[in-house]
Amino acid sequence: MALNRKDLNGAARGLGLELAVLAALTAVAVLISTIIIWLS
Amino acid sequence: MLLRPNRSDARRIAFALGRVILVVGAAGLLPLAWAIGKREWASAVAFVLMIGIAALIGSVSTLVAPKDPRLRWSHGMTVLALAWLAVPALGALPLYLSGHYGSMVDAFFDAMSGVSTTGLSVIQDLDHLSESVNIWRHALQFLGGQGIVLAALTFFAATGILSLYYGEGRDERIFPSVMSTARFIWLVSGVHAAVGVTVYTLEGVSRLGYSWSRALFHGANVFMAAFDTGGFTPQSTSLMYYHSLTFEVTTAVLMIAGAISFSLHHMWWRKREGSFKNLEVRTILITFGITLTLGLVGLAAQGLYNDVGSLTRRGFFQVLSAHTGTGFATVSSSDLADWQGLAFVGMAMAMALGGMASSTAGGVKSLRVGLTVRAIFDSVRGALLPEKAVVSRTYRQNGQRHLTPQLAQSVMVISLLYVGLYLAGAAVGVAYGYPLQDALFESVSASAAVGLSVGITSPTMPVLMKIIMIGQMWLGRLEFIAAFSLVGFVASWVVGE
Repeated sequence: MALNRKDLNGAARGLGLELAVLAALTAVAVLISTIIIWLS
Repeated sequence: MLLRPNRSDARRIAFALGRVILVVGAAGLLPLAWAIGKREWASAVAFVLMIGIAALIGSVSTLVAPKDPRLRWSHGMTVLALAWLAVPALGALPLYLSGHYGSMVDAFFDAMSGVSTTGLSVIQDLDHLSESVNIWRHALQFLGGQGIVLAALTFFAATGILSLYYGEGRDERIFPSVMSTARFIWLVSGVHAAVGVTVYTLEGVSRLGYSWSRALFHGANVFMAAFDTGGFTPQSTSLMYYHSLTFEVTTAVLMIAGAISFSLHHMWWRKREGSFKNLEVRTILITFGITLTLGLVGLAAQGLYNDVGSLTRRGFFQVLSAHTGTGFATVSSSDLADWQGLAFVGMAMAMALGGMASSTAGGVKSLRVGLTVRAIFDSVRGALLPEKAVVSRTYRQNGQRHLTPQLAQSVMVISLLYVGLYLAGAAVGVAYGYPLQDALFESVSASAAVGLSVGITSPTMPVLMKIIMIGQMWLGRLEFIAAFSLVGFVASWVVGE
């Protein structure tokens, strides 16, 4: 199964978006944790 | 009146089932090669035996090949249900022969846990299991996660088993042709494999001090279990074994990749706009936010983690592992059992809801959750508005779609069946004397193909509980429909005319 240029670009974009989602979710988790620890 | 299946029906089913089993035999070549390379001769013999049986069954199925091998919908569903029993039965053979299982039931339990991408295990002394058998456990998860039938149709597309594709929880085609869809799924998996295994291996060699061979062994196994939301690990202490932030972050990315639908992968890869407007994506983001908040608040309220770093790292990873249906843990089973109150509620909800449809995750699935909430909301709105008011019943999922009463009904039926399965398993656990909370946790974990455990799942668990959990994993992975078709097929065979 050969990868063409379109596939490579797509793969890079897909992996980038997955990392971005993880970063966003982590940021939300840090924010919630900070608020909870601060309140308690 | 039920129509009794004829010989032609049986031959079509046997032929397709034989093809699927041949693929499993072919997959056994990978651990066989590893066993030979590592001079694990006892394991090599076990794999030769399994491959031989698969080849024999495949050959016999070729002998009974019907003139027209095309399968009707009911045939396809029956093959699927049987395949998801036959494959773990065959896959259990090398596991049992390894000597690390107390009985064939235990080996079948782990094989079913593997192909259903659950990750619960009743193995004994995992840390001393031969590498090749350990690879086979993870390969079963990869095979199950990718879809046994998807693998089969990739090789045997011409033999008319394409209708099976839809029964493995992959009810939408990304491309007009199923083969193009299969190619895209393998492409996405291949790219993630290349990146994931490379990162794990380099981390193993550079930071953990492993040899290249050992790093590749761990990297490949953890990749297969992470991307296919399985949750098996080569060592008994799950991801804690590595004490590596790189492993945790890479695994988190792979778990997300595994839990999102291949349709969404396609939208992201091909730069299609509007993916974040889809009901499914919005639902999973909202439910993840809710369960994460519940989990973190619960953990903080219990005072288990008192600083932002450890609360975030432990809480976030466990909730993500639960919601994606993976089952990796960075805390021990006994620590997880201490997660009470809101932390338990958050984890149980995350496991029960699961990932996206047409992904490798289990559980109710976010599209069903979103549609159920939308249907309830529309019904309430319809009741509150004047009688003649027209209620718009649409939702956005790759374009505007109509939420018909039939769709709402089928979605709610499946969702209710999952809830019933969760509760039934919990009732069995309670009947055996386990606390309700622990029994419910384990039941949801098995039915939603997660694999997190609070300690109930063990080699000493009652045999009947093991068998019931096997059934839960089977039903949960098949999303009920194929299992019902098998029951219908058997019933029509017995009482049909």
